[in-house]
Amino acid sequence: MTIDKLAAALLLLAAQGAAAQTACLPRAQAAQMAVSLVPALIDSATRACAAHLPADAFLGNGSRALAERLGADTAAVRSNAVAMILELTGQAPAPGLDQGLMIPLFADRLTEGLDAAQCRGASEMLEALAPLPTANVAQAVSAALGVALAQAGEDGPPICRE
Amino acid sequence: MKLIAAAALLAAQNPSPPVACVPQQEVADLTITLLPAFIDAAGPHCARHLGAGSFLASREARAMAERLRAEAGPRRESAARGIRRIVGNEVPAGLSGTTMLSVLSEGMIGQAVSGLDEVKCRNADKIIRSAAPLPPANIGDLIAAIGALAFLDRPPSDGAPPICPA
Repeated sequence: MTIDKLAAALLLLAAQGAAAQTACLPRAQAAQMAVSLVPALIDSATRACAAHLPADAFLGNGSRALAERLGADTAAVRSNAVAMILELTGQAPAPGLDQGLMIPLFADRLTEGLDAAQCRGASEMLEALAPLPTANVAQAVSAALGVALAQAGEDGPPICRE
Repeated sequence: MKLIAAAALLAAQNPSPPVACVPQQEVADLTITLLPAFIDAAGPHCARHLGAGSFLASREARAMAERLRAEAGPRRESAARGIRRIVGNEVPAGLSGTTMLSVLSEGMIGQAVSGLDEVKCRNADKIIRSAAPLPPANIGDLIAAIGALAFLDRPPSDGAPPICPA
């Protein structure tokens, strides 16, 4: 699973989750939801990459603070991300089940099988962007979505082209 | 990334033997070296599409370009090695790497900026605005890491060498 596939999965989730609510999901909202899933992806990637990375790699060390900050800053939209996952998988919210448990399971599936090069690349990418405020990370994701949507044309996910 | 695409286009026009890959450090240094001129050129170009309130047309963007430019000096030799790998070895004899970098960068940036329509300007504006708080080294490293990850599964379709894995 490479980063572009992770991004595609996040895009798809965002699109599926939004479809039931509006004709298209505003891109900034999709980006924020995608960022809300990043802490779980960092946690899962840390476990998946433990055997591939040196002990002092950013992923597994500095990434914890990054994940905590992104998680705190996007807590308000994380429930929507859970709804996206349920929508995508065609499941109804289970009464009494902590829907937050869905996210780590989803993240584990996306990061399983990361190889050494992918782990090093992910670690370096996260280290480089770690100083950015969460709003800037979301803005960059939104712009990246814009580039991807322009390439996808009308066949892409139902995220507003703006 | 537009700059890399422009370099790749130049490489396609220059049929030199491809090299295996471009080291990430050279890509990072190339990014830091070329991005200031890109920001300078994209500012007035995109202001026509985005208005004067865009980031690219702002004082902050010019300050960002100056921060990058201040870091670029010691990186030019490495950036020149990177661009030589991208365009191949068939360059005029006696042309130093840094001279080649200066000559090619003007054309690459002009080509990249002239291809920016309103949507691309808006996306470029957002990406550069969002990256502005980063130190120059992080901006270079981020572009290099993303580029390397993008090419892990498939080489560039235009025959340009991929970025080496980390």
